Amino acid sequence: MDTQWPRFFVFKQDQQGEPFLNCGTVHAADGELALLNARDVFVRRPDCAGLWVVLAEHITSQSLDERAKREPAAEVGEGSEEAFVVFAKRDHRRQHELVGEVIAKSAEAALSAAWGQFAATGTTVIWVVPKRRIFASEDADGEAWFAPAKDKAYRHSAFYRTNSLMREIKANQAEDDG
Amino acid sequence: MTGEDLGHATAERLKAFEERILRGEKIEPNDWMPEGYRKQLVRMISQHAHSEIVGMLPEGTWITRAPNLRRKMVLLAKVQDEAGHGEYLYHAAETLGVTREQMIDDLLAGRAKYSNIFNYPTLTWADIGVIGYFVDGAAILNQTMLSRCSYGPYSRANVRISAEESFHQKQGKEMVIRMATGTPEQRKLVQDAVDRWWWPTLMMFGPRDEESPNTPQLVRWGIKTRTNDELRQTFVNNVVPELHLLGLKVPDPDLHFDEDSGNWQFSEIDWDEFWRVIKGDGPCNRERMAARKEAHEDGRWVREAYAAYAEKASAEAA
Repeated sequence: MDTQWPRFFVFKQDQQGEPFLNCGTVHAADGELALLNARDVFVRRPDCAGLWVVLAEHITSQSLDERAKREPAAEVGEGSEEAFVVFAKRDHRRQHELVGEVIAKSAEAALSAAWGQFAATGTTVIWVVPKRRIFASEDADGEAWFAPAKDKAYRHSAFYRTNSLMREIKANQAEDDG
Repeated sequence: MTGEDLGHATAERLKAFEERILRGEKIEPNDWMPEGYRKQLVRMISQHAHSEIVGMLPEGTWITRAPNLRRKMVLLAKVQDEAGHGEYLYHAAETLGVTREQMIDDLLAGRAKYSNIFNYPTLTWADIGVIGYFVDGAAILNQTMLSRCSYGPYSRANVRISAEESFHQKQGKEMVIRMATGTPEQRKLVQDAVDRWWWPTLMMFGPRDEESPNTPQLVRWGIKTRTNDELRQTFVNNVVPELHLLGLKVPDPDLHFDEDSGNWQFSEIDWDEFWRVIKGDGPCNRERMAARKEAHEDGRWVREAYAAYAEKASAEAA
């Protein structure tokens, strides 16, 4: 069986100031190509101000159930501190969204800090990602990557006048019959 | 634990799982689910993904022959959407533990299925209109139902797909309206396309309810909320009055409106043809699989070159 390349999680920001939301995954050979693939798969229509991609293996996940069974000893961590980005699933219908950052010595320690700081009622799963592992689109990419979708009105169903065309045909036929 | 205790624990979990579904909660990848639920979803979602990918072939062949630039841009955008929809769906299946490599391998080895409709040929430009109007119209009914599915990732993929696919249906319907109200030559072409696509479209909804042994379980687990026959009847009821208004004939001499049920009653589908195409003997099964395999092989050097470059770059960075 051949390779379909590694899997990257994709986070999309619909408008400036809104949180990045997990919208799915793409496969790519590296982060740079993953960003390009994410753009093709998730931004064929407007409403995108930024994209992040993260290799699946760099996400550490913990659900509420797993949290209850955790080993607190593992949460101290060794080595130097670094920044982790925190995504939370706020309720059972929503996707993971960006909620903030914590500084920690390990992913386990980051999870522990994240549950303490960000777990609002209804949070079921938290993900942490070392900040240095995120590949992000740059503001300068916006014009080339996200703006072209705005001009492609034909990608929207409202562009097609099928309802009014059918009404016109009906009215004409009624006139002919009358 | 004894076997009996284990059985009891599973029964308790199953009960809790089914109660969650009754409450309308979404099941997520981290949650416990019965093995049968996981298997049914992997089967349905991967078939759905393969259908989007193979579905690019019959329409893709008309991109270079579109009659003007506007129609060409629209068709390009539609086919590009289908590639994207395949990606959303492969992703949803991957959340259940199946790999992309496995799914692609199953498709290319002929072990996986995809929608029968894509094993029919697109003979004229009018087919592009009728496919949007009929095939995407039928797909939207199915996908709107699946956007309420109990499995979170599949439900969200279908929400996104349904929103984008309403453009596919309307661009096709617009073409059909234009051709049906156009020149005699255009009317002839579009009637011919309606004649050829009507029955394969009705087959898209799958076997009759009494021939679909999985349906009651799928409904119980909130994967489907409507049966094949219900969706098929909704499609017929939606489309027949519009076709009549456009002066197009439905290729079914026994089609009639039933006052009591409020339904347009149609004749029996040719189920022999349905099963023959599923089993690989439709007009284009071989051609479609050959095209997929060729694309896969032609792309092999690209996949390998990118992987080698990424490996080299990460070795240098280390």
